[in-house]
Amino acid sequence: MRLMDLLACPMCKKFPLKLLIFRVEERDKPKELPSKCPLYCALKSGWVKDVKPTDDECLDCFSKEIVEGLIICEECYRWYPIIDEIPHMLPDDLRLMDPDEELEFMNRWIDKFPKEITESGRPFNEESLREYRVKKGRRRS
Amino acid sequence: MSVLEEKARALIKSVIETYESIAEGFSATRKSPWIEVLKPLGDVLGKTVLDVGCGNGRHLLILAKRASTVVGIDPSRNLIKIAKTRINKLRLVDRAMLVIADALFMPFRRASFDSIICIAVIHHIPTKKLRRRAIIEIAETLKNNGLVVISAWYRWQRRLLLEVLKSFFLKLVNKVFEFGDTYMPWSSRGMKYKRFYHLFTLKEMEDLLNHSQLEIQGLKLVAIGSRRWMNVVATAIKR
Repeated sequence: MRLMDLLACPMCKKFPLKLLIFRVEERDKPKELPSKCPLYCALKSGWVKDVKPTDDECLDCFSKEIVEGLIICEECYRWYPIIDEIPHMLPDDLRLMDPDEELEFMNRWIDKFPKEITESGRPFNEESLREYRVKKGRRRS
Repeated sequence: MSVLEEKARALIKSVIETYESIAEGFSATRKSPWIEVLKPLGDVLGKTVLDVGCGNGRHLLILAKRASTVVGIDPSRNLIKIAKTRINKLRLVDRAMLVIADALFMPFRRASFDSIICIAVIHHIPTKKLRRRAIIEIAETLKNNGLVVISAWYRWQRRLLLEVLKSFFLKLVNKVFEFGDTYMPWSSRGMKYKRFYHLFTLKEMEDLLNHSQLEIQGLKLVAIGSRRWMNVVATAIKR
């Protein structure tokens, strides 16, 4: 979650990005606070100067590991998956080169995708998913 | 994109694909960090550090002992997975984080890191134009007065003589972009792979950094390990 203070869209450089959490795991809190985010607080979805997270809230944030989630650029409608705790923030051409892992993610979580991303998300949207499902069906048979 | 740029981009894709295929074997040969290259970075106590092209995370793990936050990026999903396993094993999850990303499309806001390292990565990027773009992305991501350490394989070492000669002839027949470009073999499980390298000179590294907001602080050859593998290492500050 603390990465959201650093992450910008690799294509259009928008910051901050929107975070949707699909699956989160609790882990031990650190004894001392290792660091505080300087600019943007994803826990409270706001600028640090406005939402002023307390040290306890920051410790709480350290104890939350996002296992699966969606990072959205509201500027260019690109979306980036968090899979197995790791954000995948590749540019379009590298995603198109090896799309299966991301399309499988989309297939798994499509019900939780915001409507505008399902419809006009880049580089993958409902049309890419439809093609993927057809391809997958063919592979099975 | 021009035809030349498309060719260069395709070459980068093939380097990534190769790393995806050889990730495990490659990682096994890259266990120890290049301490000699990390030295100019100084103490990173309390700092936010970025490792561009972190591979299996060998430098990340060392930096996470002192830095408050270390982020590693690499376009190879398989190498990032290996790095993730090592971070978990060493219980460094509070300080070390990973992102699958391309150095030419940096996924970070401007001026987000105190220090950046980019070790043995830039020589995988073909053409001066794309290497300059990578350096500009690095400079943008760095805070003002932040420090960056960049290393690349050195061209004029005896063990690479054949590669350099090969590169000269490949350039003559226009099979590579520039003199210094070569394809280094890697064998794994009976398969042969080739990775693109642009072997660096000191002058090239100097020119590269002079095209950005980075001000060179140090530029030298560093011999690494018992085999004395020669690398061009530059230290620079963002102004």
